[in-house]
Amino acid sequence: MKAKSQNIFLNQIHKSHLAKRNSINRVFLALSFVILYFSLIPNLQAQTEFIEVKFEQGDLQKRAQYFVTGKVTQLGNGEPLSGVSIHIDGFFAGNNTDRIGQYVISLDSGRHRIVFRQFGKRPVHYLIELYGDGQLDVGLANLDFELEAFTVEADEKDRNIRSPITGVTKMDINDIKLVPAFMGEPDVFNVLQSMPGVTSVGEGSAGMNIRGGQADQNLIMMNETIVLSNSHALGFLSSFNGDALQNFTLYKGAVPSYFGGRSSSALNIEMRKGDKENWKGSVSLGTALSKVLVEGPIVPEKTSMIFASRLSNANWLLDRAKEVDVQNSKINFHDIYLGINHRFSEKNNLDFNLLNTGDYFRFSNQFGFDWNNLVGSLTSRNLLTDDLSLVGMVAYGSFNNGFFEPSTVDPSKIENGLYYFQGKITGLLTLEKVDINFGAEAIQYHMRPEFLNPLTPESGIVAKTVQKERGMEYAPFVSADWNPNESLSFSGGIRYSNYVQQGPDSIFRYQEGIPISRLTIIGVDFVESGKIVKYNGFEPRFSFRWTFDKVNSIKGGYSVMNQYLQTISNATGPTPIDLWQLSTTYIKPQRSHNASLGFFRNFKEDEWSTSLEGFYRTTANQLEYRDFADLFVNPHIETELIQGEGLAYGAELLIQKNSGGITGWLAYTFSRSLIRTTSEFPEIQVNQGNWFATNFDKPHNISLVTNFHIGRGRTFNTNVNFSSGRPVTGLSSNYAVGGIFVPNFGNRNEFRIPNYFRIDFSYLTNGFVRKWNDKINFSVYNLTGRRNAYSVFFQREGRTPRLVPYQISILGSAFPSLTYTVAFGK
Amino acid sequence: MIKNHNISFRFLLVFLLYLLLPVSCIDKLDFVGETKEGQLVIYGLFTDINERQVVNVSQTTATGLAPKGVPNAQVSLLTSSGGKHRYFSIGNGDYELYGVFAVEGQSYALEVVLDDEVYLSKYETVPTLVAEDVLSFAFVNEPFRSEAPESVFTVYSETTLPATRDPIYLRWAVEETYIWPLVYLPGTGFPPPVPPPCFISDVIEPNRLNLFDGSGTSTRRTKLVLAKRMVDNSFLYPFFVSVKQLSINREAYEYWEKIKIVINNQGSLFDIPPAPVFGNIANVEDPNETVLGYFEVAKTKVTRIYTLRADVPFYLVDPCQFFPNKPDDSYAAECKSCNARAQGRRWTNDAPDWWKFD
Repeated sequence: MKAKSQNIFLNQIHKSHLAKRNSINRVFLALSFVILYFSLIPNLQAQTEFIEVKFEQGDLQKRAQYFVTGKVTQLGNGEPLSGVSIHIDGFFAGNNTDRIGQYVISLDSGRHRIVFRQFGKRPVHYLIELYGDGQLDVGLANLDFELEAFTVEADEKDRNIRSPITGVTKMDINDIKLVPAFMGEPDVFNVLQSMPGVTSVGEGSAGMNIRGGQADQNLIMMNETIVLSNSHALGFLSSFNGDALQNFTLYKGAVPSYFGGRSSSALNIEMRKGDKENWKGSVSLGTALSKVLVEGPIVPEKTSMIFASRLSNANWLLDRAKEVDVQNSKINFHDIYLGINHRFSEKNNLDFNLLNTGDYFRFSNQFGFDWNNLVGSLTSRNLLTDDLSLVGMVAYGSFNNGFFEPSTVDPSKIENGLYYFQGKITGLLTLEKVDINFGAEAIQYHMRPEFLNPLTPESGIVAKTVQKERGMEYAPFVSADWNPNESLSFSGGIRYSNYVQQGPDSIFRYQEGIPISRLTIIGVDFVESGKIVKYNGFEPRFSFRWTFDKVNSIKGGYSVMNQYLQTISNATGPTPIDLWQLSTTYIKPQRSHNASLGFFRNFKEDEWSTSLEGFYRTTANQLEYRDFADLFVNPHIETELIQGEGLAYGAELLIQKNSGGITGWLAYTFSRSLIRTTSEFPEIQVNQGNWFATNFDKPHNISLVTNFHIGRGRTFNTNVNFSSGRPVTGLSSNYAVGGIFVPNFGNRNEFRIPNYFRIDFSYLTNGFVRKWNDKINFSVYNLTGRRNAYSVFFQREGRTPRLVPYQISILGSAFPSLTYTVAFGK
Repeated sequence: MIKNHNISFRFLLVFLLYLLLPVSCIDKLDFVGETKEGQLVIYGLFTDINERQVVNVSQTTATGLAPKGVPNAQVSLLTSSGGKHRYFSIGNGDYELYGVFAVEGQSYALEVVLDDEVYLSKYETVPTLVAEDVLSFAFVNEPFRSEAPESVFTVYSETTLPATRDPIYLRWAVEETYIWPLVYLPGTGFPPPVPPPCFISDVIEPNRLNLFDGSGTSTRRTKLVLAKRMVDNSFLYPFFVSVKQLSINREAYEYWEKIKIVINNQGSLFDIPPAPVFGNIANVEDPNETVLGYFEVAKTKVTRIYTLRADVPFYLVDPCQFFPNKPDDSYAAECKSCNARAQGRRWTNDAPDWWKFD
């Protein structure tokens, strides 16, 4: 840490050690017996270091107030840290660092205690004697759980009270690592699913459902670059390597206007920058996957790089399965991340990021998938003046899908995909009480042609190609964050969203007065180039915070969002190979209205954080599928779809313990997600046009994450999950045709599978070689081996006509994993 | 150190709390939902061979029970030229028509009148193409009903499609017929009559739907697995397999494809979600009434193959072997009664006219 001055001098720095009092945990709320154990361990003492700094202005005229400005960066790689809260004399006055880590505060002359805090970072404490304007640049280090301290302090504990936007979940990699996960791999999606408002269809389904939204309604970004394919192993694991991950921010309430294109939420995953001072890295060998990380300075203090890669080695686990089909299955995946950062000067930086992921999955000789994803971006961050910064980003993404059937007769493979170019420029103007963001974003999508090809030379499949659409989405945006005083904060913005579908494309014409189908096609118009159809709309965004009594706040937000790119699938849940489909003449864009309101309260000097939030969302033109939709290699895919209204509402309760020997949280979510189709033709309406539950409608979700910090770098972590069973379509009767007993299914999603329950645990400890920096992660996913139902199917019992429902479990046993990691370098 | 021990003890207490939480495993479920009884089900197959043409009319019952036959309907076959042929009820909702068979290229519809309501199918045209099947079989040890290897009898067809680019859609129905001699027990008459043997027939793997879409492939010769069954004492004597190849039209093929999706749904992540399957029959007055089933027409080819005991590589036990000193009442019922042996399958004492083997 270092402090710089302009017309001041840096006084001597000396350390003083101040003590905190012990505090005994008590029972907080009698909501659940499990929370009792949070108070079983007393906090032990922590020590605080204060750095003394003096700012003077020499012979200039003395003033009553002076400015302190500076930049907060990540210690080690110099990456700017946004959202760092600045506490002055024990209080938080609403000051946070901006998106490029800068801050300005105005203080009375005299002596002040200033603390810079951020969740997952070790706070930095200053004692400042302020008798002149000064610049104070600060570096924050990650919390180091390796220290022999029993007390772990989560920083920015009051963020839930002070942050201006409701429905924001932010977490650092150090906290992600403490949540037990499948294969023992720290995973963003796994952590998010233990937070309120985030669920999934079930184990092994790609994507998350956030506040009752579909998986494709989430904008998922890596350093603000869109990443369309973001999961491995059928969705058990995200594509983002925890070793290279810095933090993530999920906007599930009011999404700021500089994000758009999806109708539910935005998740931005920040990747780490390489260390600018030393070369270092790590190698991990695990029972399910292995990984390597290398980072360091290419040009010391100027250019750094980070390289991280993971490779699966899970096939030996499949070989040990009891079922022959599973034994004959294969699953392979990899991901590679490369980040290069160059600092031209203190004010100008350039980042290059590259993510490549690949997956291969084959289920026996029945079917298989392979998909790969490439995302590269170049980001320039420039501080033009002390008040104005500019961030420019260009990106390229490519996504390829393959779906193959290696059957004995006519094996075939279907391939599709897309590529896109993304450009975004964002300016940030920082005034005394107002921060203004402005800029524009454009994305050009090119859907690749869809191919049906024979898989082997012997196959008689006739090759077929269907051309797909292309389109451009662009939007200017502006937003302002205004903090009129310590208690109030407003954030408002607007985004003007535009979409143009461009030629070439074939637009089918259908008979009027009857539902469109392949049988009602009366012609086709081919558009060689230019505009085919255009959609646009204003997207207002607004949120506010009102803080009272220092520990209470009420926050609310409202946003409108449009979506022009969606996935199409006729599988039970979202899969990694779902087709991406642009809006067309017949497929209207989705448009959602989101409202949320929350009450936040902290206790015991922010040791406990609590929140209660409610949300309500309506979505127009949400996609649903007609029965037995035929989606692959279909030139008129609109005939298989039907659009309708979506409705999601619910409430979320979060009780979080931020510091002490035991940390963690208890989250409860009540959430409903409904849809009704709105066709003018009754014969294609789903469930007669009535509201019905979506595939991922799980009203009750509870998760309890606990981290026991044992000391000496050891943590014992548990994750308990409970959720209502998801809806499935069940039988209403059965009948026989031609000697075949056929189940007659009733209304879509009329029944529910049994409730879901799972316990995971992990134990993180130092390795056994004294001189090495090695670590061991032992984890067990689904500790109790409970066979949670994913879905149901119906089968005859012997020769009887009775069709019996059976449940299928994706992971029906405990899944242990062991990872040994050796780090090298300093 | 003392403090650490205290903490560990508390951790242990907390961890034990987890273990007390409920743990259970469920495999079989029981969905009790709203059952729709009384929905009309009509299924008819009209072929081009001179055989018994059958239509079945039934109503759905509570989930889990067999559909209830409707014997009092008036069922007629309509031809595109205006002809009308009446089916005759033989009970249990089955209706028969003899002496009328389909002509390729012609269209036919089915009319069912029940309680003054008229149900009419679409006119379906008989396809003109049919493929050649060459049957074979194999006895192997492999996992079948369970993961453990079992003795399995498999029927194959090497099918050759006509050398034309016209679309062809095929479905196969596979039926077994075996002979089961009853035990000859002296002293039950004078002279003691030799009990007539049973000819027992049944569909092999009723829930296997063998479909082939010849429209999107250049394949003209392919080998297909048509049926599998466990090897049991049915193979003690000649065992016939009758394969009926039905060349159907595209709409019928799409209907059976949906049925296949529904009956093969295993609830996996990648399954197409199930839904009700509607056919080509509707109430003339009330198109919104749900009518299940299908009326299909087919150009048909029947091929047969048989096995003898010498073909079976597995040891088979004859439960009805006669021993002079064995009391009559100690023989199993299946040794003395065709009905007991058939257990609900179709049986007759008369050998089919094609029952010929070396």
